[in-house]
Amino acid sequence: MITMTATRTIGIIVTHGRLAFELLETVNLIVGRKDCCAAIAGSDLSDRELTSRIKEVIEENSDKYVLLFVDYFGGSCYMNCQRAAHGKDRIKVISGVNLPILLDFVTKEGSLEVEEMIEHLVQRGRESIKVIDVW
Amino acid sequence: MIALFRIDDRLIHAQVVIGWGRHLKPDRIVIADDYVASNEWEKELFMTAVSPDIKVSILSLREAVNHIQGDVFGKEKIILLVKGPREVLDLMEMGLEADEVNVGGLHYVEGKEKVLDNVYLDQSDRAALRELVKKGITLEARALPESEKIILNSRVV
Repeated sequence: MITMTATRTIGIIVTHGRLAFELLETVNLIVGRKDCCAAIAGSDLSDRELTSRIKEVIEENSDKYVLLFVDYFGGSCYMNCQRAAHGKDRIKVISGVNLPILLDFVTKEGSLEVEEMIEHLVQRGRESIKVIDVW
Repeated sequence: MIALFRIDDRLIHAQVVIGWGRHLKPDRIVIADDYVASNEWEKELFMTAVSPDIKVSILSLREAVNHIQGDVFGKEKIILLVKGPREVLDLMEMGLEADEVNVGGLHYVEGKEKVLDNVYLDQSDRAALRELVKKGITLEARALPESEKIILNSRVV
């Protein structure tokens, strides 16, 4: 029996180019479509437009925690996520998003509290980067 | 020494820090913008976005002119960033000298018309750019150092 006790969380992937869409498509391909994850391609939009699109998704999910997954710390997607999230404590920005982070997010969403989820995702993302000897 | 004087409505972002940074190896990035310089939160956001090996100064337009004219940055190689053509004009009217400005990023917002992939202009941008052309400035539109150098001067008149 699965009990859903944790507060629901939504993830929004915000990246340069089409990376956000491709990451989301790849997640869907591996684990099937989930409604807890959305994608925004940020780099072609003006700061104002991008910030307002992120804010819209945040407002649509006002009863949930929001994790903003960005590709590059210090890039425009990161900056505008910060602007959109400013002053709201149910939102966190996670930079350096990769596929393992997203796969764990969509498969564990609803079963972990948000603080545990964040800690887990960051660890998962870091641990997934390895140098492996070939043989 | 100003190695790059760039119009970019995003100011500091990946294209500037990595794209131009890797090419120019600047000692410092200077943001000249009255709004950012007066907003502690925005200032902090830009300050923390750049790796510690590049220094960042966030100044009002007036302070930027004073610092550059007063040789505050000495021999440092500088990337000078402003949000729009109006700010370039303001800096020049305050006494900053320039021959060439890089029109790097003016993104789409409602009411702006596409000129290039990285350049959208409205009437007020065009008016300011025309003033710059009158002052003898070369407007070179390029997102990145290796992009084709497109001269905008004849396109804004």
